[in-house]
Amino acid sequence: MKLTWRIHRVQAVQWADETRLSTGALEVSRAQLKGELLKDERLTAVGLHLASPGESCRILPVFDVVEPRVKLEPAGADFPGVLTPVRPVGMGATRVLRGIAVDVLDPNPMPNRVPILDLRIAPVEGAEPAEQSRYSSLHHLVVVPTLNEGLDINERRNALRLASLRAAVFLAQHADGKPDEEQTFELTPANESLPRVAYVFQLHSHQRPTVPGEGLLYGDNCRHLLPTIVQPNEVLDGAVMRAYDSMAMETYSIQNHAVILDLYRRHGRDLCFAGVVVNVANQLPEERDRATVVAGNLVKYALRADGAVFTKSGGGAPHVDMALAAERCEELGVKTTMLAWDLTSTDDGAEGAQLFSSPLLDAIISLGSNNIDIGLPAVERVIAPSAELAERYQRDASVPALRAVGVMDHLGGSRFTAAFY
Amino acid sequence: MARIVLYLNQFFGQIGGEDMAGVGPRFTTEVVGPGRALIGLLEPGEGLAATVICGDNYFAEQPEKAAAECLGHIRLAQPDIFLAGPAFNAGRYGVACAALCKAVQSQLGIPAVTAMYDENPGVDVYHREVIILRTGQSAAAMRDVLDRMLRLGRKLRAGEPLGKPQMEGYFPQGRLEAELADKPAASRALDMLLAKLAGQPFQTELALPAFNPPPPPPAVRDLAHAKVALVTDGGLVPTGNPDGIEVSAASKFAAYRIEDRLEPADYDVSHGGYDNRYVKQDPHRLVPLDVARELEREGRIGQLHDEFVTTTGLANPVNNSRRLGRGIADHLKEAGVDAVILTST
Repeated sequence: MKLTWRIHRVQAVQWADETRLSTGALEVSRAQLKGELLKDERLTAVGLHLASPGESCRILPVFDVVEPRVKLEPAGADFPGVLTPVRPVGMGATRVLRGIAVDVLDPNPMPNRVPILDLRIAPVEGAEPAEQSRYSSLHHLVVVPTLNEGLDINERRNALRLASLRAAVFLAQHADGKPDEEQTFELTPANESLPRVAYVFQLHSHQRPTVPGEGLLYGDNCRHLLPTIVQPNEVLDGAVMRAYDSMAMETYSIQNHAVILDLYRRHGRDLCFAGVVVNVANQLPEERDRATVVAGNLVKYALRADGAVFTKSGGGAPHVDMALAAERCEELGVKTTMLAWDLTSTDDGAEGAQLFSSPLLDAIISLGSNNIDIGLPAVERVIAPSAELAERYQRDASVPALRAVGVMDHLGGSRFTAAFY
Repeated sequence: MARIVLYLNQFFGQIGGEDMAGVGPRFTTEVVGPGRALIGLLEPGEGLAATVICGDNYFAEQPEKAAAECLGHIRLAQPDIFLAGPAFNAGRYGVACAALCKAVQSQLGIPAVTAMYDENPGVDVYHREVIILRTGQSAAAMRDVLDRMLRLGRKLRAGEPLGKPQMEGYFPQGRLEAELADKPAASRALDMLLAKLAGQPFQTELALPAFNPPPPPPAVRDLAHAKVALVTDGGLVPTGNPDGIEVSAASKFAAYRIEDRLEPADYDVSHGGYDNRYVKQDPHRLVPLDVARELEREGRIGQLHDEFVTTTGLANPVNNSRRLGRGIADHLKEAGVDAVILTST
C-alpha cells in the first residue's frame, strides 16, 4: 500500500472572490465556503475568521482542528464512512495544505470545559510558542457555526464534526496546482536484522461511550471493537477519526500522527515498522481482558513484533487498558514503551500517581500533567462564538494543561512534559 | 576550606546500642563511625570539622529541645555543609536527621543533606523541605551513600541546580514542573524502545510507584466478640461533603456516625473515578451497614463500630495512601476496633 502526500505550503491566507492557491497564498471566498457549510441544514449561520501564526490571538472553544486535505486518487474518499461513503484509503494520492488549520468552534461548550487555542501560548518559561504547540505556528481559518435550536447534543456535535471536515476538504479541493513537495508512505521490505516495532493505538476511551453516528474507524463507532490490525497509511489518510469530545487528540494530530510518522522515518534504518493495532479502552472487566489477550497476540504473532509503542486516549481510566495490553506484550517477550501522563491531582504527589503498577512496565514517556496550569497572558483578539466568552477570555487566564489545545498530545506530537522535583 | 559537620545517632556515633539511646547531644572533633569513611571521600580543601551525636530516644522524646541543643553544637563548628546520617531504615534516627537538616538550612542558612530508606518515616514527614537521598535498607552501602551525600552537598553549596530526583537519587519534593523536552514524545518513545531492545540503559520518565503487598494480618479468632468497623475508599460522604474530601487523591479521611440505615438523601459521593449513580441510589451498596447490622443482631459479629470511615482512593499516590492508612488504623485502634470490612469501587 503506497500513499503519496502532495504537499502545498501555505504562506498566507486572505479573503477573495474565488477560492484558490496562488503562489503560496491561499485565497478563500467566504461566500463559497459558507455555501458549502450551509448545505448541512443543521447550521443556520456561519462566521469565518482568520488568524496568523504568533498573533496575539486566542481561539475558543475549539471543537476540533483539521488540516485541509482532499483525496485526489481515488477521489471522493475523504474521511470515509463519516464524510463520504466507505471507500479504501491509504493508497493513491492526497493533497495536503501545510501551514494552515481549520478550527471549528463549539457554540455550546460545557461550562469549565472551554478548550483554548492560543497562538502565543508558552507554558514553559523561556520557550518559543511554536515549540510548545504545533498550532501556534499555523495560519488558522476559524469557523463559527450557529446551530439550529432543538438539536440534541449528539446532533450538535455531529454537525460540528462534519463542518470541520467539510471546510478542510473544501479548501484543499480548490487549491490545485503543482505541489511544493511530495512524501510517500510505503512499508517497503526492510533488513531482517532490524527490530520489528509495532504501534498499538487506543482510538477512544469508552469512559464516555460513543453514540450512534460517532464514527471512529471507517465510520464505525467502535462501541465493541476487538483489537484489529490496520495499515498505518489508513490512519494518516482519514480512516480514523477522533471521538467528538476527545482530549489531547485533534484530527490534525491523527492526520500528522507523530508515532506513525516517526516509525516511518526510522523504517529500514533503525527498525522495521511492523504495523498498527487499533483498540479502545473498555468499560467492563471482561471486555478489557478480552482486548488485552487479543492485542497481545496480534502484536506478537500476527505482526511478529519485537517491540511495541502504546498510546492512550481519554482521561485516567484508559491508562489501565493501555498498561494491561503492554504488560501482556511484555509477558510474551515484546518490549514496550508507553506514552502516559501523570495523574497526580494533589500537591502531595511527591512521587506522582498512576492507575497501574507492574515491574514489567519500566519505560514510560511523560506527556506532562493536567495538574499543571498554563498561564495565558492577555491578548489583543479573541475569536469566540459570543461576545461574552470573548470578553471573559481576553484577560490573563490560567487553564489546566489539557484545556490549552496543542500543548498535550496523546499521540506524541508535543515536547511538553512534566517532572517532579 | 569547606567545613563539614556530620550528625550521627548513639549507635553510629559509637556510644552504644539501644541502652544508650537516651543520651543527650554531644560534640566531638574525633572521627567516629561513618566519619572514617567520610574523610576518605573528602577533596583537598574539605575537612570534617565536627561530629554531633545524640541518642535516638532523647531526640524522639523531646524533638524541639534536642534539635535546639544539636543546633547549638553545629553552629559552633561553623559548617559549610551539614550531613546527617545516613539513617537507612532506622525510624527515630531518620526523623532526627531530617528534622536537623530542616533546622540547619533554615536557621543557619547552609546546605544540608540526609539519606534514608523509602519507608523511613523521616521521608514521609520531611521530603518536601529537605533533600533526602534514597538508600537501601542495609548499612553495607555506607561509603557509597556518604559519597552521594557529599556530592549533593557540594552542589548545593556551589548554588548549582540539582538535576531530576531520579537522576540525582533524592526523594522528589512534590513540585511538579512543566518542561519542554528536546524531542517530541513520540521520538523519545522510539529512542527508549530501541535502547530497551538493544539492551542499552534507559531512564523511564514516569516511575511507577513501587510497593510491597502488605502481608495479611492474622485472622480474627473470635468475630462473635470482635468490634468491627466499616471503612471505604469509595468517597461516601454526608450530603454537602462537610469535611471537603477531595474527589480524587483525597488528602484526608473522615469518620461519620451511623445508626441503622444510610438514607440516600443524607449521602453523596465525592469520587471522580466510577459511576456513582448506584451508590447514590442506595449507599449500602458501598458501605454495607444494612448487612452489618444483621450480622450484629445475629451475633455473628460482636459489635459494629458506631461510625464508618471514608476517603477517596482515586489516583492516590502510594505515600499519601500509606499516610491515610496509618491515620485510619490509629483512629480505629483508639476506638477499640478489632477488625474492619474494607469496601472499594
